[in-house]
Amino acid sequence: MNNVFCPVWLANFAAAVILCPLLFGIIAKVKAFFAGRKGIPLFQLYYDIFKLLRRGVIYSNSVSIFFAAAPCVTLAATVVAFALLPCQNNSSYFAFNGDILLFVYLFALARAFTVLAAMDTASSFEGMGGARELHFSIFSECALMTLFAVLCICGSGEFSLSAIFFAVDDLARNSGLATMALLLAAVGFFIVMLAENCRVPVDDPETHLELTMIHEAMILDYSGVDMAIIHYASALKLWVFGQFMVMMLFPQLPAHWVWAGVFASAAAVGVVESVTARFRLLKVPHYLMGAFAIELAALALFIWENL
Amino acid sequence: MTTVLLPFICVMLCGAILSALFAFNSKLSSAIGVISSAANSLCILAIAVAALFFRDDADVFKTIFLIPIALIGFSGALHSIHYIGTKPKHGVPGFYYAAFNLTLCAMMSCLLLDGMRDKELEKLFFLLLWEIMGLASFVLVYFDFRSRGVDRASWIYLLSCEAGGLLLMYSFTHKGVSALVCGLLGFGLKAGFPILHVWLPKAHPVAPAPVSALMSGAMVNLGIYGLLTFYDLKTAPVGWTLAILGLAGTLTGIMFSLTKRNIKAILAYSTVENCGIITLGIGCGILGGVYRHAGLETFGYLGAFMHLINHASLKGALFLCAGSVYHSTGSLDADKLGGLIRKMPSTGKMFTLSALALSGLPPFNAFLSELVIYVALFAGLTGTNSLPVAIFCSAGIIVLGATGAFALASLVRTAASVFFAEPRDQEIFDAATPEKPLMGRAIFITLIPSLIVMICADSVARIIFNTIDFLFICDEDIQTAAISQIVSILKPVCMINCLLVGLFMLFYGVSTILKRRHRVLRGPTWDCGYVKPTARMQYTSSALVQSITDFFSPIFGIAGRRRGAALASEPGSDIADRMFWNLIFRITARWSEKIHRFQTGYLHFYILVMVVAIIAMLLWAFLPEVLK
Repeated sequence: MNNVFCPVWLANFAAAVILCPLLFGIIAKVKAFFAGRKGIPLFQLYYDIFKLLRRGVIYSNSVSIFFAAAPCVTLAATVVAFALLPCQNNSSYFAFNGDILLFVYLFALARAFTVLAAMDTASSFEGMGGARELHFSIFSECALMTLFAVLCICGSGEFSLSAIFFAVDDLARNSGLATMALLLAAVGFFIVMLAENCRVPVDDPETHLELTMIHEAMILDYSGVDMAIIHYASALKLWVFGQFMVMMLFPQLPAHWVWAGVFASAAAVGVVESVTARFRLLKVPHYLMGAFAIELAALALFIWENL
Repeated sequence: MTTVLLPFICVMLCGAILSALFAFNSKLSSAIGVISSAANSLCILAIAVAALFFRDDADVFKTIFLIPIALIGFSGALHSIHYIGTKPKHGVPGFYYAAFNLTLCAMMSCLLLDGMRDKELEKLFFLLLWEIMGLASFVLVYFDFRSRGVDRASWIYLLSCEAGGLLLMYSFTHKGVSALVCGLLGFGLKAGFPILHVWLPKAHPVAPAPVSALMSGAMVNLGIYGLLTFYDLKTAPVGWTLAILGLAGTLTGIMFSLTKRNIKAILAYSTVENCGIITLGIGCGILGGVYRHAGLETFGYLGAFMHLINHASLKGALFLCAGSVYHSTGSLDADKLGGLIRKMPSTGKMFTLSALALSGLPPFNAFLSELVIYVALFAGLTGTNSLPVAIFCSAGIIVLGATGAFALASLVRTAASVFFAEPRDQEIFDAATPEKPLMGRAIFITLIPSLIVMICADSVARIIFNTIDFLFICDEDIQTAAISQIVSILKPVCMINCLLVGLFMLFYGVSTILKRRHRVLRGPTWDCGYVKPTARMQYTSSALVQSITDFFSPIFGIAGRRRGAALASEPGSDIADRMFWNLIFRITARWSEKIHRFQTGYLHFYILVMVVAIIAMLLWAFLPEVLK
């Protein structure tokens, strides 16, 4: 752990906390642009969250205390995961060797509680969403772990997020093969990012048919404050993954450029959503295994390079 | 330490004998049995914990194995009070308690042997105690003998115990590679190595819950203890074998838990997984020593032993929870239960949280020990220039990641379908009795070590490191560097875990205040506007993972029509059963058929066979001398 709170890192933290709902607005705007529509306002998610915060909640007769706790666990896990990310040469205040594992397991914690809450409602739709989430998470977990192995070799022995990203930069400057492997890893990460954040081509948050949903199906029974927390947590999660992506490719960027990069990655998500259709659910495991294969290739390249 | 603990073990043995003698009076024998096992286990637990802090010799290593036995011995005895009861429903309570005490005595004595001067004598006594442990625990598994399926399962358990005993007998009397292989097989049978694990998912569901807890939390560890004590494992081939066995056990164990719907069978497969993780850690430790890699060695061993304690505590608690569920509902079928958190709130919460903990999620304790093993693998990956080690470490990282996801699926679905939502079988739910406070307390006591590891992981790691340092090959100063590194990892993790819990409480508090402004309404589940959802429309535990079992159906042996038929019965069978054991037993049966021809039923023929056999033996014995 660092002993000093760095102002840039704090500024980045504050920016993410305030700006993250904007990402969904950007995605929606990009999609609207492709469709030739005007689209929803950029700040729509802010309006939604404030509206939901003012509303009351309604709970199913079936649920237990875990149902009400799940959104808060998800938000807490996402905030802590974000706190592990470094920014512009400043390692995170919470950085320690091995925090990449905490990073991925925090999202697993959020997933576990979401599935528990979904099962808690006794609804068949929510169970269906939970089943899909559990199934797909196996493959994305494999891909993420391989990515971390790649990054760890880059970090040459260090495996905290902060140390890795700085080592990545040195390595990429010095070796062409490493740059290629890193690009491969980034492509794999983008695929996993789409799946983890429930975007097309894995999941469509704006679909009108519950049978095709994954994440949205699991939160059908939430309302009011809980729903606001869930929306906010998923926006923050998108920011976390976006920043991870940017830091992996350009570790030395100044903070405001990192934010621009995160918005750009949201725009990229919007472009992908506009030009591709959602996969059939049976194809999703293959798609994620593709990401896993890409990461494995990157790993093989790195091991080859290192020996 | 042996001298201090011996009186307690003797008293426990007396307790065993007395409760067997007074078996005709259930109340008296139960009282004797409970008091003798609980009180002695508690004393032994206290002494072992004290030894961990204040002693500094090789004896202390054994306390890592002794603590789970004493802990589960204590909480299991408390849990048995209600679980077994005093009315002889199935077996005789007196005999149960006698066997329970005897198993505890034998397990503890196994650990306390090595003060003996004569190593051969020590091995003989170890075999004797090992055999007593196997037989006494067989009596426990067989306790519920009138129920369906108990016969077959206990038969398999007895067979595995005896096979293990025979292999160990061979191994202790021979030298060289064959002895080592037999030792690996014999202790591996107890420790649930892959392929040898088949008794676990069969014996655990039929055994009484405290016995399952004892077997899973403490007895499997003894297999690891035996391997570490009696063999010189510090060679490359053994390291590789253990590491690869660990990887295989981890992945297959947790995958097959997805095909089960009996809670205790799911937990038993999860034991196979966790023993795989422990074996993997020890394999890493050995490989690190052989290849002179301090990080791999120190973190591997340390993670293995931390995980051993975490697993014992969590799995003990989970089995006891399953026992409470069985005591209350009379069913262990996860697909038929549901909504039990309303009837047994504290059991439900403890089961769910322990299940999440065992999936290796932060901020719980198993995450910390898995983190240490991950750190070992990452250190091995970056710090080596040997290709096999690099490949093994990357495979280990990926397999552990996949295992995390599988474990999450398997344990979350169990917790969710047993305790949450609506009861899937209303009759079972209506007949369920509320939980007994004493059972809840026993479960909580089992969880205390987990809490301790969660709160002060760095000091626990330091203590464990001091007790296992005789295993290390690398230099002392490198080790010291490694341990300070691990402390510098575990300290911040604990702080971040506190942060996580604190943030959760903050958010939960704020959201509760926000919700208070309006009346919190209650209604039926929305379910997309469908007005009359029934309990039968819910997902069950098998249905929740059916897409996974279908995806891996070739491995699970689910083919053709049975694909998608998750709800009808338990789909699939263990690959070790299907590919290996069935084959072995079929070949054995075929050969036995040939011997069967001799069973003609004529006395004359039998006498003829005997005479021929005697003549053949005489010839075999004396012919060489005659010819000379």
